[in-house]
Amino acid sequence: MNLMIKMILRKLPLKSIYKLGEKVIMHKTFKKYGQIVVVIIIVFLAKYFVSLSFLNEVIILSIFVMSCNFLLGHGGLLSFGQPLYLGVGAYATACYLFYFGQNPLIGIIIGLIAGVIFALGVGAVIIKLRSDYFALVNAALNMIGFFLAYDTFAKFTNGLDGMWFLTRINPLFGIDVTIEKNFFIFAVLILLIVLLLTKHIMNSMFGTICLAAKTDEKKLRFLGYNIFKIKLLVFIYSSLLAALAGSLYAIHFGFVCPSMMEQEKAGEIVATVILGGVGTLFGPLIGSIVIIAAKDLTSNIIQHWEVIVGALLVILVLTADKGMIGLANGVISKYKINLRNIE
Amino acid sequence: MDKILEVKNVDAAYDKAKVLFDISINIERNKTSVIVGKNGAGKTTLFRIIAGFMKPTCGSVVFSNNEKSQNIVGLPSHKISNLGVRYVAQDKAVFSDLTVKENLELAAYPTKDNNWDLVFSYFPKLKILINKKGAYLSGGERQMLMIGRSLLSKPSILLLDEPMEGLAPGIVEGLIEVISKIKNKVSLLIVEQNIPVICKLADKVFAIKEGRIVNEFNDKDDIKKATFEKYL
Amino acid sequence: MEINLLGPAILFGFSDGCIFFLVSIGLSLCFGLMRIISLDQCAYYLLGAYITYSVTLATGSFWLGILVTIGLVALLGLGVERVIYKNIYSKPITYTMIVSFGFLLFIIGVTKFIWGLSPIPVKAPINGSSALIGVDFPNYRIFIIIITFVIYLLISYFLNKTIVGKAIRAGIEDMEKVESLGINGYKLFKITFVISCVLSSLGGAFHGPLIMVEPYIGMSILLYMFITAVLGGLGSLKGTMVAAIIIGEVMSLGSIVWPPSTIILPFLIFIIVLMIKPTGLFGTKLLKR
Repeated sequence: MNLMIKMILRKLPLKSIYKLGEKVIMHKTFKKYGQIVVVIIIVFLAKYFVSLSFLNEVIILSIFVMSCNFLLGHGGLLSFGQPLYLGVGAYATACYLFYFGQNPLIGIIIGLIAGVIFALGVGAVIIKLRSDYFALVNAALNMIGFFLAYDTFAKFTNGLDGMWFLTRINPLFGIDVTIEKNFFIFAVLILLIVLLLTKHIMNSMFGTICLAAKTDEKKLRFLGYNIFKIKLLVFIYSSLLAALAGSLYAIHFGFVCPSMMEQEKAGEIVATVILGGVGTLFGPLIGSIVIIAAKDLTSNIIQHWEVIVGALLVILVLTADKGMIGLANGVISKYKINLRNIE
Repeated sequence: MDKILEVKNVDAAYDKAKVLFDISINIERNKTSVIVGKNGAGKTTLFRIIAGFMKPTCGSVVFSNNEKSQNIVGLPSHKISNLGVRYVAQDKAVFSDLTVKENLELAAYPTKDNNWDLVFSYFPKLKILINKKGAYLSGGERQMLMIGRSLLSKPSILLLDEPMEGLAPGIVEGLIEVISKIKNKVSLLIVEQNIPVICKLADKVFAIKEGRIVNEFNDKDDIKKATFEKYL
Repeated sequence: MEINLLGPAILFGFSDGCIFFLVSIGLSLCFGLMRIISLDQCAYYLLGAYITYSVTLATGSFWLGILVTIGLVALLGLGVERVIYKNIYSKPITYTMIVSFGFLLFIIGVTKFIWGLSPIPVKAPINGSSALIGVDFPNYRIFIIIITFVIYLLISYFLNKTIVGKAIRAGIEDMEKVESLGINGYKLFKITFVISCVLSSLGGAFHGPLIMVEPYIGMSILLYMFITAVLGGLGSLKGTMVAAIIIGEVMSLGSIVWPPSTIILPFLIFIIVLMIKPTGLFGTKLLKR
């Protein structure tokens, strides 16, 4: 990446700009987070090429997929019930905006807090389970949560019809975020924060420990690390992201309903994670784009997305590939372009 | 020396942690060889390599029988067992849901060797317990079954990993008797930390320390004179 | 709750439970012996339903459909085992969960492609009903109960009286010891996997006439299959049967007491039982490999 920019800058006649550019690129922070900034800029500029609603959907979904990606990639925990945590965030935000206040930002914060508390409570109990039990219990909890939303708490949640509060959402700093255009800017900013935060965690000592805990629990325990605490923290962060995605859905549509946390969607999310490249930073984003694009296209071939996605899942896992990102890296190294690999 | 098993320059490691360094030992046919060493010295690892449950990082294990020799490193463990190399593990775990009879049936299956009388002549108690499930056997009875199992299907060499460990003295005596009886018909490679047992049974002793063979005792008299405590 | 609905509910629940047993026993055995979570059993369930339906439609014989299903699924199972599972037995469970899930998706897509999306009502091969404990009970469901019982006895005989079955039971406990006796463990894996696939496909074939057959039944059965197997105890034949009947009855009785509960009761029971006995009703702590 740096070399490419170097080459471009070298073509410019003004030496001073080149020198300045070099200084920026060489700066530690840019090396670390430069890719994120570039991606954000690309996403932002994409609004001139694709519809805003498509982009908004992609952004929110990618945050949700990042939650599952982090859980699997850094926690080694597979869950077939992530939609539950999305639902917690969505409904917490919805209840706030429907019954109490009107500030969307507070709504999101409420959603995040609900997500963290819920994850803390549930995680403390289920983290210790063996991986297949963990996946299954999450699925069971997801179903129970879905049931609670559409039946048990129907008095508060309006059951299957869902809660509608679009008109109740106040402008944020004077801007009405429910308008597609404005929400887009809002979402891009949030995506930027999420990417930066996640990258920071991935690269930190904690991130490294997580990866070690995935493969070598015993060794890490001998070194004195509390595996349970590590996995719980991963679980909480992942649920936080899921809740954030849920809150964003709530704000974006001004509407929540139980089908947002259908357990059936859990499988799709797992597939998207693998497709994009599990454990990578941009995998979720790429995966979300592919999945939503594939579903939107109505040609006969794409209608049978299960065949393609299913086959890819099998192939990717068997070859231990890193999905789309792995593919991109493969292409890049093939053509010997001297870019640092995409993460 | 008529060698049944030749371990040649075997190294072994768990991930990056090396546990065996250049192990080379020769096991003579129809004799009893014993390996002594502390816990963690690498004895069980060596057995597991010979039995095919673990791959050495380098080296070979040559098994010679019926005038044929071959390197058994890399062969699947069941094939190694079919060649006649029987590994009797340290954990004295028989199949708990299966009866004594069924345990023996499984052992006899590969060669359809149903010469159970031989087994019962060494371990008459097994005949009495024939329909008891493995879970209900005592420690000593389980060990009898484990060794009895390994005697079926024409074994050439038995690898016994600490056979006397955790057993009552009476049972140990009984086992020593049995091993003395089969000594000349089957080659034996035993890991043992029980010194009187070693002195009674061993024709040859290898001392292993921290993954290396540090001493060999080839003579019965040498064995009696040696102090093995220093290796334990 | 109406008391005269109790009888039918119990009987219907029992026959539903029998279907759950057929679908779940494969997963249970595969995990017990091979330590894999074979979510693709749902795919064989799905194919069982469709293949039997198509062959019945073409030839008029349900039983021929069953035979063809068994044959085709057995072949498919052999292929899947060789191509997919052979290389990942030693990997963590998560791998097999994801891979088998991917294969399930793939098969659902293929089913969609071949047979389309529209739900298909499948005619039952046996018509009429009989009076059973004062209840009018469909003969086809009686057949399901009988055939499941027969299959259970066959599996039990296989596991307890044949040498291969005993080897499998031994392998569930300790695969290494089985190998050290000179028995080819991989062959046991293949046999167990193919048997599991066939049983799952029979579950689908028999379930077809009771439901509307469409591609996504492969997905909707997944949780129930998984829960039944885990509830009963992975690797336990008896456990899976008991758990299957429990789930079937709970859902059936729940539907006459409080209809919404059918969706949620199995999961509640599952979580409660796991809290008390994590290895399931009849499961033993299976050694890690």
